Amino acid sequence: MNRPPFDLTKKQAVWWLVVIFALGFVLRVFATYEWPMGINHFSDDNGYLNSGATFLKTGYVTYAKPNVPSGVLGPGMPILLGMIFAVFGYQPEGLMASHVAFAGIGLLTALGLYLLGALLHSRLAGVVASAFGALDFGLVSTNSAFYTETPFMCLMVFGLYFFLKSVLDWRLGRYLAGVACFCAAMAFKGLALLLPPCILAYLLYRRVKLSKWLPQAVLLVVISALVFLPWCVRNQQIIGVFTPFPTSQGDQKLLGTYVGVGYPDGTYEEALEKLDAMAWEQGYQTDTIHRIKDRGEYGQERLAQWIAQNPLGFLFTHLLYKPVSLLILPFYPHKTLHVPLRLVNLCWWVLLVLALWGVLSGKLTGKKSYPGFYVPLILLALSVWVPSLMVPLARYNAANMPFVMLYAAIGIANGLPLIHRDKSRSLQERMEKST
Amino acid sequence: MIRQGMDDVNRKEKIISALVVIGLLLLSLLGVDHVLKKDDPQSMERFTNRMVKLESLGLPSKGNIAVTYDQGFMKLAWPAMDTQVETQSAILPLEHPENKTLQVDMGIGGRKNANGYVREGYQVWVEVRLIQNGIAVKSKRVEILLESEITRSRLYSIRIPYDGAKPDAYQLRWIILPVDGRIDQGDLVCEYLEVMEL
Repeated sequence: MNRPPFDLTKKQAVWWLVVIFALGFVLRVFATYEWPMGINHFSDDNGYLNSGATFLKTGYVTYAKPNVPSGVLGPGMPILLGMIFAVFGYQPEGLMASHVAFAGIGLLTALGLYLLGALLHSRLAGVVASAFGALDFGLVSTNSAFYTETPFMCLMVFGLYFFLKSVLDWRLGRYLAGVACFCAAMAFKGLALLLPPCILAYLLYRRVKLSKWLPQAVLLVVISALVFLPWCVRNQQIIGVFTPFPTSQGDQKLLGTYVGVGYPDGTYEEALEKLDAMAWEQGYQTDTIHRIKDRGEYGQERLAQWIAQNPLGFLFTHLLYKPVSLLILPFYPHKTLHVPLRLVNLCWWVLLVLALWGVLSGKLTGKKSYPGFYVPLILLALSVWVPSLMVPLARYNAANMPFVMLYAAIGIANGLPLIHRDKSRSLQERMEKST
Repeated sequence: MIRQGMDDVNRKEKIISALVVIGLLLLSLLGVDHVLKKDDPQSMERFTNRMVKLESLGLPSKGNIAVTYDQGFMKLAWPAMDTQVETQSAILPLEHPENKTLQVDMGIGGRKNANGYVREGYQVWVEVRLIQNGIAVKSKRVEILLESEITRSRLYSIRIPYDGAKPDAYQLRWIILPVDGRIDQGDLVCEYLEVMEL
């Protein structure tokens, strides 16, 4: 596929990237610098901080309580933070450095966005995508606290890049790099499982013969199984389930049955009251895991009730209402550098419009799409639909943000030549008039 | 374009793939072995009981600071006042004085007193002192920044290298300092305390 005429040279792209990364790094340092021990929201990030420190000290994976092995998180964060803490420590001065190091992963994501943009469209699109990834305040804020989203989105972007690149230009090393990114992403969030089906969909669309991709697919399955075997055994020992996935979705699932159209009667508070009363009656009121599991089961019952009572409402809610509700929410966990949430929201909605233009503009202007162009869109669609059984929380949208930025950048790269052409045309018209 | 190379996985690639799988198989088995060892009752007991029993610190209610214990947690509370107050633990022996560094990790929550670099109400510091023959030879402090509205605990850590000193014991000191000449009524809860001789 030929590059568009309105593109950057490699040298220009590198210079732009250097400037963007420098700005992105400065933003992240300043975002952290506002807090003497680094940003802590006393939410999941606090649990991850504990888990990283405990893993470094003991090799056990815990969460909020440092002497109780936990099944509510994957092994990714304890291992990653444990490694960062091994270098910088988690004393106040080390925590600051650890936060900056962690935020640096956000810049790697921006680099991945450049590679994806350059692969799927042009260097210009890549540079613009990386600028969004490095400078967007939602991402700066997310990167500055210890959240799984930061490494997860980085690994998903690189995983997608390596897989796509290896489909377009096969090399085993590239493919194995994709597999490594996929496995690592799985260690942070089970949603990484959506990555291979997107590539598979592309292979099927290209009508690649089964015999050609099956060995690679088997390799992926075998490697993933081997990587996660110890973790599954560990989960079997600790929580009694042979699974690589965390077991903490109960509350979000229950909450999700109170959002949308035609959901069954009752309120979340009433449900909690009822379930907590049951926990007290049966004597497991201090067992949080059991109580969260109950909420999940009750949420499942409500979902079944919803389907039976109002199937159309259920479909509308889960196919459109919740996915759109999720997509319009940028994740901005912490007011960073005094930038108000309203501005972050506004920027995000502009990005969404640009992304929509980026997806459609190729077709609208009659250009042939680049190979693999729609693969990130499939991933984005799945990532928005699959969690729609849960409550649409902004945090669930965080990992989608880079892919929206990618298409927004493509929208800009597609729009610039049009503006340029219009400007040239109007200049020509003015010159004609004047003569 | 889907490259020709995708059509046939060549011999070299097959060998590399096989080596990767064999290597991962070995690592995976080692990982399983490690997990099973970690799960044996002795290791698990060492892990779950590694925290210091907070009552054993012997931190007295002193001056205006009231120290109480509840369900394994230690609570410090104080009324509004004007001047610095402090309380200190008993002198506790080091188990491995031949080691080089003492690290104390604490999970502490309490009434909010900080928002970034802005302080309000009071400041809290915890100091670790290395004791040699009954005399403090080195000390280090950490400020307890209580930044949460929901009094959830956070990890605070002090790491103090011996640097040639030969301490045989340590002591913890809790200091409450005024902000703008005044200490507001306040409290904090220490949920756990881990002492490591490294």
